[in-house]
Amino acid sequence: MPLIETHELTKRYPGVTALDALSVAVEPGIVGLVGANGAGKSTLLKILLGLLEPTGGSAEVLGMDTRHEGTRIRAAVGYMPEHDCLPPDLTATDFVAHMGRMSGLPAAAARERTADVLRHVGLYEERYRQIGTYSTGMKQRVKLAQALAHDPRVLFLDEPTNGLDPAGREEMLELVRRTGTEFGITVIVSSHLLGEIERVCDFLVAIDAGRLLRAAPLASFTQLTNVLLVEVEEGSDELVAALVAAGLTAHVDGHLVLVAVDASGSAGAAPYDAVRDAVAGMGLGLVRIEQRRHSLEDLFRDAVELPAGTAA
Amino acid sequence: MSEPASGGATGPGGAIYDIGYRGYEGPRLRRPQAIRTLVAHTVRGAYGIGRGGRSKVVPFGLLVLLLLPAIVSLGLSGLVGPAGQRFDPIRYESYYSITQTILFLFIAAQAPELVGPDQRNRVLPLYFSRPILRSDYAFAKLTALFIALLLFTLAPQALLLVGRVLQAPDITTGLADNLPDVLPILGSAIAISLLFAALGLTIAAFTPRRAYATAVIIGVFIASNAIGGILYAVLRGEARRWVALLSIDTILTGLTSFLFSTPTAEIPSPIVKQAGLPGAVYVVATLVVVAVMVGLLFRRYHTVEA
Repeated sequence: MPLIETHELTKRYPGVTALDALSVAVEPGIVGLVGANGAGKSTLLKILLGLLEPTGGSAEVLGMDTRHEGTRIRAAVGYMPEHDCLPPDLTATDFVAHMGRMSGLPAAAARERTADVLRHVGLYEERYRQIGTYSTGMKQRVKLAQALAHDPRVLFLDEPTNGLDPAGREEMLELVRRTGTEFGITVIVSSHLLGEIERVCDFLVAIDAGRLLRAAPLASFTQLTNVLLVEVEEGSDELVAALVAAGLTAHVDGHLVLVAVDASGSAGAAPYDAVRDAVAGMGLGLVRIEQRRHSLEDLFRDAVELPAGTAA
Repeated sequence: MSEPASGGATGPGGAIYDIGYRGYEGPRLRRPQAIRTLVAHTVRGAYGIGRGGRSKVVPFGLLVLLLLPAIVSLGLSGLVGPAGQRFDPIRYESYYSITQTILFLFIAAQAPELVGPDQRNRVLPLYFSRPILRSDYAFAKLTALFIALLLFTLAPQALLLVGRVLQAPDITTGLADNLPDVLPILGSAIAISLLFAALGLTIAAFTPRRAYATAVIIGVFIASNAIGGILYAVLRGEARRWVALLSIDTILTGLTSFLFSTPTAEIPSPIVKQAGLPGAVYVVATLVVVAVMVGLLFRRYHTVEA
């Protein structure tokens, strides 16, 4: 059974459809939830927490229905919102312990775990200071700590690197990776930055305008395409003409020559030979020849061409 | 990807042991414990306990002001002797009528402090992502303000009671004279705390801005008493009697006079005195106001964005 499952999940606001019949299943692991700002990432997380009522469809977390078992889901889930959410006049220790108790920990256990999670996120002596005196990076760590306080089975992190400088982003991503791999907690981490999220997650859910673009293991997003990429120093147009004459499908894209290949591999060598022969025959300077990989950006650029709902 | 040179050069200078992440296998308590936690946390917050020193100035300053009449009264009867109590305006039944402005200032200052910051700092989503319901949050906040205000209102009466008993010629007469007042004191303190807490917290819950909330709470207090006073002056006949249910001051006075069975001649409010309404009417009026406020409060937290 998947850890998280949604069926035709829809959320409409007056004039805006935040989620549009989204069906997706998520297995344990570190899961990236990626999409542009306003794609519906936060809305999805809030519905999964039972904080928002969906307009239509249904969602289950750990086998529990979000509409009717919200409190049980929230006992097992930790949530780090995208926005600031900390009281400036409390110390990190007091606040995280309070939130641990709000999640059902007895007082002594809450204090003990507070010390543990604050150390885990890298807050030491400063944890006895009021949160209002913290830097953005330290506040993000407290936000993560309060989500971890009750040892949740699942962690929802909404844009955890927001507002951080490059070094801070790096550290936060490393924390996310460690939390997911070493603690065995499933982490759903949302981001609008593809390059960032692909470094930590092993499964990716891409949404755009409230609809699912694709949900698949990260590797399959970057698999080989049926395009052979040839770069020559000059004479791209002549090369294309020669390749077309040799019976291949080819065209010029900028300073590159793109050649269609058969990905199955049985006749795979033929285009390579044709390119080699053409380049050699015309005496062109060959810079590179390689089979092109999908990039994550393709996913969004080609969104309209991809069938919606290709859930794994 | 170079790690920072942890520990500097090689050598057994010291070591940081990563004991790793420890899970939690112990008991997980349910909603009632979370609600109790929030109530306790909020009551402490109402007195600025666990916050900075500046948060304590207003609640404890007002507490001193509230205790002052009791202290002065006890001091006077200490000088003049118990006979002085006959002319002393400071009595159990009149204490709240005299000090209601201080009670209201406490509410105006502290109710926004209990609910405003959670909205202003957007802590609310963190509470709502805990295993509680939105209504649990509203219930816990109201209960906390009620408890905080009950402690506040009972403090001067308790001081007065202990002082009077100790100033009596002997403890037995002291207890016999003062104990019958304990139940009315408790009853009126509970009723007033509930009324003020429901009014103040509901108003405060509608804005994250502290200054607005404080201004509106004080405004409601002043306006209701002013409207009551004006209508009392303007109206004649049967309609004028019901003016007693329009202002917070007269509801409070009617309520305490009823609970202490104060003789009509001694009621410290001409509006209540002329109305001559049965005491139960003030109880009902209090309950109606509280019910409406609690309804609005729960609706607010049902719809507030998280």
